[in-house]
Amino acid sequence: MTGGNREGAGRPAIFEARLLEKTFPAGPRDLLGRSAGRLRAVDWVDISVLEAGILGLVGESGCGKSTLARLALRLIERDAGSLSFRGEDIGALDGRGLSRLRRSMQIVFQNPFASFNPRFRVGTVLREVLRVHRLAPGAERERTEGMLARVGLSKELLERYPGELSGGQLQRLGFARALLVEPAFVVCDEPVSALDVSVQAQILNLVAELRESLGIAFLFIAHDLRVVEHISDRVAVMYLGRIVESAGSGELYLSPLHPYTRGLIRAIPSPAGGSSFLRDRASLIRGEASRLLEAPRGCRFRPRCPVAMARCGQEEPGLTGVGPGREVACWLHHS
Amino acid sequence: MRRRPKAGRAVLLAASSLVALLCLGALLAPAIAPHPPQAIDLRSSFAPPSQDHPLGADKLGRDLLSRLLYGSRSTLLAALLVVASSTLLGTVLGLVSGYAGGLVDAMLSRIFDVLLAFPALLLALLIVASVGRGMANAVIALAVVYVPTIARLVRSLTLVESRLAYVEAAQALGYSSSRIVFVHIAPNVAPVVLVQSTIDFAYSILDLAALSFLGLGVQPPLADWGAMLAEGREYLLFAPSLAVAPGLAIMAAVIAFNLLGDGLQTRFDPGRRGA
Amino acid sequence: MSGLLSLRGLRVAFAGEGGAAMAVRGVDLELEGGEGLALVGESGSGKSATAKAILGLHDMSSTAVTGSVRFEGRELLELGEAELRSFRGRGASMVFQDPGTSFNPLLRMGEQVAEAFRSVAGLDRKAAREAALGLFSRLGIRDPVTRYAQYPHEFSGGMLQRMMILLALAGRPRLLVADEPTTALDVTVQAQVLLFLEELKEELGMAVLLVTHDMGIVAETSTRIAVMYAGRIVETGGTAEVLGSPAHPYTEALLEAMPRPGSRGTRLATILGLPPGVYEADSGCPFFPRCRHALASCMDGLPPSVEAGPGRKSACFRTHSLSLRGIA
Ligand SMILES: Nc1ncnc2c1ncn2[C@@H]1O[C@H](COP(=O)(O)OP(=O)(O)OP(=O)(O)O)[C@@H](O)[C@H]1O
Ligand SMILES: Nc1ncnc2c1ncn2[C@@H]1O[C@H](COP(=O)(O)OP(=O)(O)OP(=O)(O)O)[C@@H](O)[C@H]1O
Ligand SMILES: [Mg+2]
Ligand SMILES: [Mg+2]
Repeated sequence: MTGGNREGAGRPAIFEARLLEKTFPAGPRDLLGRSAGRLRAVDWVDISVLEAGILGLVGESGCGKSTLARLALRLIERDAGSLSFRGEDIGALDGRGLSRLRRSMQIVFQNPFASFNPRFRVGTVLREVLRVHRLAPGAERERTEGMLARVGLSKELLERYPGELSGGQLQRLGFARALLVEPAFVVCDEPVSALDVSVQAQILNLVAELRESLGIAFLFIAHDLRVVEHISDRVAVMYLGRIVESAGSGELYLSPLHPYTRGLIRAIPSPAGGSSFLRDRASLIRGEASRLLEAPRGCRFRPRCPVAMARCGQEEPGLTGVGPGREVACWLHHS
Repeated sequence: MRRRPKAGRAVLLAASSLVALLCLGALLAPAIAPHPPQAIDLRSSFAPPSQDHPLGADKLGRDLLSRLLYGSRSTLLAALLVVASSTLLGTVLGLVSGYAGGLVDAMLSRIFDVLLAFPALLLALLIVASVGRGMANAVIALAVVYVPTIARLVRSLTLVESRLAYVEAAQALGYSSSRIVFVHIAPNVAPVVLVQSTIDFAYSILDLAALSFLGLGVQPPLADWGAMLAEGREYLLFAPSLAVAPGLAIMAAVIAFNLLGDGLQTRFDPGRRGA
Repeated sequence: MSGLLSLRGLRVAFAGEGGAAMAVRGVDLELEGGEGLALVGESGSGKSATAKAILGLHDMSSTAVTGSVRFEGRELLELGEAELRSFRGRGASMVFQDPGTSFNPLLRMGEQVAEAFRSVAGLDRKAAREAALGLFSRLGIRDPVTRYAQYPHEFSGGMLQRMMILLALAGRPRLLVADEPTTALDVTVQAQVLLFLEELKEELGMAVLLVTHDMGIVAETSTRIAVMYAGRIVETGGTAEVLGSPAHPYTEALLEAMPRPGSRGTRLATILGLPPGVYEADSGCPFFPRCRHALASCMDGLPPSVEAGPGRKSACFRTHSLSLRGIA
């Protein structure tokens, strides 16, 4: 394995979120159209990303990954919790401070086809970023061309419209656009989910390369565990708004602790045939996650958990350290 | 991408030719009208169509064709003013309301709802009645009446548009709200607004004519289709062309702009976005 | 061969503004009764177009389907619409990617299911209701009578997809064509749906043609694999053999591009460039511009499909001179 000390022990955190919470109105509405219930999309989440580190975030559809990404960038406002970037509290930044923050933290979105205004040519898209932030005045052309080269796109694309680019090209353009402001931390919200394996591989290589050469830190969100395992130093597993386990990437896959993580890993169809879930039917997690409209009684995974105990129905386990760099929210592992 | 049916293109062509013809008539009125529109010639009172008066003359002997041509100027100009001002204001309010959301949106939406609760013409009548008759006031009244329709349309388009990922990307890049609204969203809602304002143009010709017909819009002796229709009505049995000619002119203009709106709508089929 | 399904030189071309979009360009494929075959390939390679052609689901006014589709010896491309309709559901059925859009959102779930039983299996009203309730219980739905009266949005995605599968099987077809049936689902739900499909396959002894782009799913579910590239099958064979030692460079490239246990910290192999477009005419091997093993001679015409081992075929000029890497 290359890269030596990938766990990055001793490196400071570049981004931290503490007890982050976000609810959305949901459920049946009253006569005035107000919803009585609140969907707990992100529920007391702690994460930290190290300088030049890659934190992977996995979880099933609707578990709150994108909401967490938006909260981190302050694209939406949290209900509670704190956010910090290189030790500075960024939770209370006003318009000016936010605009400064946008130069340090960027995001790349899941759907490359929707994340560009169809009316602007590629060149215009990139130059606009530089103009708004008054970067590289007079040298805009060189900067945009340089950036295209950096993400592996030809400068002939500058005159094209987004509609004329392939998904992989668009996603690389998404990286180019985000990188123009020279951010130190980039959130990738499922950047490869819409792409074929061949193109996915290009994007994964690009992310790894950007980290190596520019020291950019990433929060890399995906629902494909193999992808996250491949790219990340650490992985956090999210279930219904809460982080249920986090560990170094290698460890997590070798010895998952939380029953959900175990089920998730068992459910990955394996081309090598080894750990076939079809042959080992007992290990399969049954059912589907349902939306959480109120704080659950007991553990939120209990309805699907194959090893639930009496205690799991009464109290919700918190995320607790169970070894160096390992945290899990499960009564099985709390002593 | 489906190909537009041939019929659609033919309609668009016919409608735009008719619109062009109307505009040309209005522009060239001084050159092509056989008489000045206000020239009274009592000897030709109710003259039937002739070489000198191709469509005949009215009670005061004013040439009907000339009055129609000049009348189109005030009618089209007034409609243009109504549509331009209501579209501009409506678009801005709709964009702001849709993008800002929250309290701003709630307040603007309530105001639009109240305005839309009245029939358009009744509301215009109320406004003109309270601020006084005359062409300028009629234009202002109708502009006010048309704003909520456009604003609501733009608001709903803006709501859809601002949920698209490119808007979120722009926010993440630190672009200002005004930049996002006016540089990014506005051009993407423009085609639909253009269609709507073309159709509004047709309605405003009709509504202006109605106001003039009721004596609240253009005042005599100025030529105007609505006012001419009102005057001609008195002699409907005796000299029907005095009412029928402006009536037909109004109808032709309304249909032409309506068809143009429809044609443009098919052209800007939403499926074509991004092409 | 006396298989269940045999495709010969199947071509599908869509009439479009830029000319004919040649989505499928001569597909040969055999399927035995009761067999599980996976059709894999990148987006746009023509998998869905092939699947739809088998069921006669293309809009004939704008699509040209030529070649031969034989099902139990009968030529399907010659059937009329009425015959096709009776063939669908009984001979072969199809399940699509998005379970949500396959049901009418405004009708109660139970009625839609019962309706399907009436039209396909020819049951009367009462028997259809019974059958629908039976299906609900089979899916482990608690309180089937209440659920009968609910609407599609009140069911979860995995439940809807399993329901689609059961409906497709109402007429006891000999072949089920499943076009990416789990792509829209989460892994844990995907696993349950695949397992369900597997159980039904064993129970009914039907053949399954599974369209997917996930090599993992192929390995888990299908005994044979067909790899599709730009409208053609480039490699077929037993799944374990093909994944273990691919014969076609495209298959190798696909496998190497996948992140896998132990690939962390390494660069993944990528496939440069893009597949040829649907409007492009053939010139030489379609994979030539992206192929790591290409020689200049690979531009001399289309590579024919040749034997590459027992039960295996590969459409590569260099099949016998290359030894390619697979996954253990
Ligand atoms: N603006 C919103 N209003 C109401 N509910 C929302 C809103 N945004 C997200 N949600 C809900 O919050 C939950 C979490 O959504 P989120 O998009 O964060 O999930 P996700 O993990 O990103 O899922 P996916 O993998 O499908 O992208 C979902 O149930 C979603 O329906
Ligand atoms: N109605 C159509 N008209 C024109 N071209 C079409 C039409 N339907 C599909 N195509 C084109 O035919 C090619 C094959 O499409 P098909 O849907 O079979 O691909 P696929 O392999 O199923 O891809 P995916 O994995 O994305 O589902 C694509 O390039 C597609 O753009
Ligand atoms: Mg998401
Ligand atoms: Mg498909």
